[in-house]
Formats: sequence, C-alpha cells, structure tokens
Amino acid sequence: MRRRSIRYALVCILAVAGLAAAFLAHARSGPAAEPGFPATIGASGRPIPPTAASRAVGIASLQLIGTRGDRAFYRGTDAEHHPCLGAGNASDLGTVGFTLCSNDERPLTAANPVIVVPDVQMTQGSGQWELVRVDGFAADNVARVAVTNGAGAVIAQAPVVNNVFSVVPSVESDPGTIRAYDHSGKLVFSQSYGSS
Amino acid sequence: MRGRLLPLLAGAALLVLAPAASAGIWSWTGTFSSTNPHAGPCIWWHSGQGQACSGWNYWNTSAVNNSGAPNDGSLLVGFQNSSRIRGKYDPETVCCAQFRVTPGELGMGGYLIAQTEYATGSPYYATAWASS
Repeated sequence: MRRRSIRYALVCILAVAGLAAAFLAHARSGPAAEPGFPATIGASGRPIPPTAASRAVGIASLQLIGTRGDRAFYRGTDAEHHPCLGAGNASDLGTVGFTLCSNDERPLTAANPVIVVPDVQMTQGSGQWELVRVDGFAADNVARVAVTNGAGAVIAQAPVVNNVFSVVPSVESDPGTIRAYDHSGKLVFSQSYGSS
Repeated sequence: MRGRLLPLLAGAALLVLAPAASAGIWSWTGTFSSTNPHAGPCIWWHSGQGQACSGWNYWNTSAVNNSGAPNDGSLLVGFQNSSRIRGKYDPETVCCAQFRVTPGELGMGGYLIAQTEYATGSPYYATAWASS
C-alpha cells in the first residue's frame, strides 16, 4: 500500500515537472523579434576568459572584438547561453563594465544599424548632464560616428573599426546628438539626447 | 524509512520546480515616461519625475530588463551618491534585452543608490533592478 502511494506520488511529481517545463519553454520563446539589424556583427573576435568580476554579473564566455583607445569590446554569452555584447576597460581584459544580453537564445536585434551607449554624469549644483564618452557597436556598413553638442558643433568623432567605436569628447559638453555615417558619407543614424 | 521517502521526494521536487532566485534585491516594474515613476529615495538634488531609485546599498549591478517591442526611447541606468549621478543610456532600440552596468564602469563604488530614469523618446515599459 505504502509502495503504491510512493509510486503515485512519483508519477504526480513527474507530471507536474513536465507541465512546468512545457510552460517555461513556451514562456521563454516569447514574441517574435521585430525585423531589424541583428547585432551578430561581422567581427567574431578571439576567445578570452571572463574574469571573476564578469562571471559575477552573469557572463559565461567572452570574445574580444577589439580595443578602441582605453576600451575593450566583447561579444559573448551569459550563464544561460544568451548572446551578449559588452565593453570594459582595456587595461583589465576579460572584465565587462556594461553588458547587453538577449532575454532568450535569439540574437540581439536592433532597430537601427548602430547600438549607441552614451555615458553621462551630473554633479550636484550643475543641473546639466555632461557627456563622458560614447561606446557602441555598428553594422558592417557604418564607417564613422560623430557627436554634436546642443549648439550643433561637432565635439568628437571616431571611425568604426571591426564594428565597434569609442568616442570621447575633447571639451565638456551636453550629450547632444550622435550621428553615424556609412562609407559614402551618407547619414544612417541619428539620436538626440538633448531632452534629458 | 519508507515513511520518510515521500517527504524527501516531495521536497526534492519542490527544489527542482521552484523558480530561480531573483537576481536583484531591488526592482521596479512599470512604464518610464517624463512623469512616471515618481518613487523611491532618489537623491534630493535630482529628485525629479521619471525616476526609479533603490535604497542605499553596496550595489554591484544596476540593470534594466526590457521585453516589449523596441522603440526610439532610452533609459538612463546607473547610480547616485550624494555628489554625483552617473549612468549609461540603455538603447530601447534593441529588442528584448537585459542591460547591466557596474559601479566600477562608472567610476563609482561604495554605498550607492541604483537608479533608472526616463531619458528620451517614447514611454517604455521595463523592469529596473539592482543587485548587491
């Protein structure tokens, strides 16, 4: 009698586990991605072991796409094998400072040919955002990224190499507008941060 | 002995089926806009609307999960202390992603407030969270 109860209990547990697994699999599949630019950019990079700091923020594997100035750019995966992009200090290879990871197994998909990650700060009493740097990833056709301030003057620009770029303004500036151009000089992306 | 087996099996099954522990110990979910949210202990000199702020802690991650359709907006994700706010704009043009930033990346550390605030574009539904 007791053995039969155990058998029934095991069958029930397996059934519940199966239903839960099916539900989770469905939930993870989510809605279909919007059409756009897959962030599976051309540059594949070379494998580099993630540091303990990167593992602490969920990164399981990294490939170094390249360095631009004092910045290192990576693609990789998180602990659940979701694709990621990220960057960090080039003097501490393998440590990411920011990451952008897909919520599921699908590649990251961007609505624009450029993924721009500006870094800004505000100090007490200033009342204004100041641009510190702009890091980003770009599709193969993007050649150059430029930053203009609120007055429309170009304060910094940088080429896109191996699908990545890092722009540091030479003068103190508001976040302004970030524009990207293709190899023929055609504007392919523009994003203003002036309203922040 | 057999009488103990059933509770043990049930316990093991609960462990297997229990959802993974939440990655963050602070979170706020809702629509970020120029007027929402207006919640949390944000630093007094930038206590505007459109901000979600954690309490003070030794945070090691400030993050946003977005799961909706991409739009033209961006959220500022980062940290505050008594003298400075610093963060990175999370591009909402990237679909279905988790954006994370560490204090070290922003030249900050120690006892901080994690924050996410509306920056530009259309209102956006997301979960802001932080872990220590």
